[in-house]
Amino acid sequence: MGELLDAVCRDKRTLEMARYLLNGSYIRVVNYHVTRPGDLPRFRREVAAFAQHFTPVTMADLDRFFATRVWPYDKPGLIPAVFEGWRTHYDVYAKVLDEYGFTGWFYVPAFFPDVPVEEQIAFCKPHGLRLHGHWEDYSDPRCCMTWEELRRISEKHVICCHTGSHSCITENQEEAVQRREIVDSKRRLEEQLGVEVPVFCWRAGDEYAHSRFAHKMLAEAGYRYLVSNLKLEKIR
Amino acid sequence: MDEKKDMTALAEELKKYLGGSWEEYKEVVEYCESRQTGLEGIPAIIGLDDLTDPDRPVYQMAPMDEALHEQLAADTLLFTYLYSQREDRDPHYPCVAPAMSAVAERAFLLEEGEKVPTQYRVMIGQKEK
Repeated sequence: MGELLDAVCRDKRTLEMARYLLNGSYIRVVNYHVTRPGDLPRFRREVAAFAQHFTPVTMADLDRFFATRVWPYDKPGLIPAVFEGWRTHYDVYAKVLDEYGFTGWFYVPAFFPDVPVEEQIAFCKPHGLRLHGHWEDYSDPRCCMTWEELRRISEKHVICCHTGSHSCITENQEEAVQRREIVDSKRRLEEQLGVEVPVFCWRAGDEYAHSRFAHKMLAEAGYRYLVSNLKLEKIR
Repeated sequence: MDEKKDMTALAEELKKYLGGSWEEYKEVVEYCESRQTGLEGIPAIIGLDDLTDPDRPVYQMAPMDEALHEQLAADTLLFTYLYSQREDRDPHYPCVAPAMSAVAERAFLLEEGEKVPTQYRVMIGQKEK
């Protein structure tokens, strides 16, 4: 088996992922974007199944898991990961999580709630935010959660920073732009929510190593974890 | 040796090791590619990496995962291989990224007393067992 693993894994990241799995260092996630009201019965079935078979993951659980290397519960951990800060997250999905007492992780572009309501839909497309069926579900143009809704969600769930304005942050950008999207975004969320925001996630789900240029900013901001498409990395 | 032929042979060996059905793996990939990622819950498995203490890479998982993690690791290789064969894949993402969702889709949990893992869509009642 060892020889096969070595031979098949010609992409470094594939072998790396297999190694995480063999070492028991992994966690399940279920990624959501728009969570429309019409899908409420499906979300209820899903979260009921999560609650039956898995344990929710709080920041305290994650900190302890990394510190001890031992998962402290009989059931494995599962993170419902909810992206982009959509209004439907508060109106629909967070309520389902609350019905079952299950913790979700909400990844919010920090400056999205500050966009004036009448400008929110126009803000989406150039910022890579894919809105589905808004006018079928709502009669007004607000598509992002309000700060008050986010504050309520933060009481029971984990709020993570998904850049400032859902931007692709690149090496060639001015330092001021990088700081705004990585550092100021965390400050804005914490200022509005009154809780620590310890997790950062790039727009495209890149890894810590991919974004070497931004290490200084991530450290300056004080993030403790970086979540990507493949990993949850403890960086501090 | 021809690399493609070599990879196919290795993947076949992995399949035998797992005792699984190649067609079943392909069906899972087709299903995953048919999902509406903007509207559905998409399962995946992500690695945990402690960059502050990399010399302790091994974790003790919940009992269910102690019985499942070797299969998940092998499935990672098979699904990555299958995605590498697709011409319509998104070049922005490495093959292992969609593979980790396929791994989760095929074997999301192992119920007590069962030997065969449960698919995610079975767990959420979208497909009969």
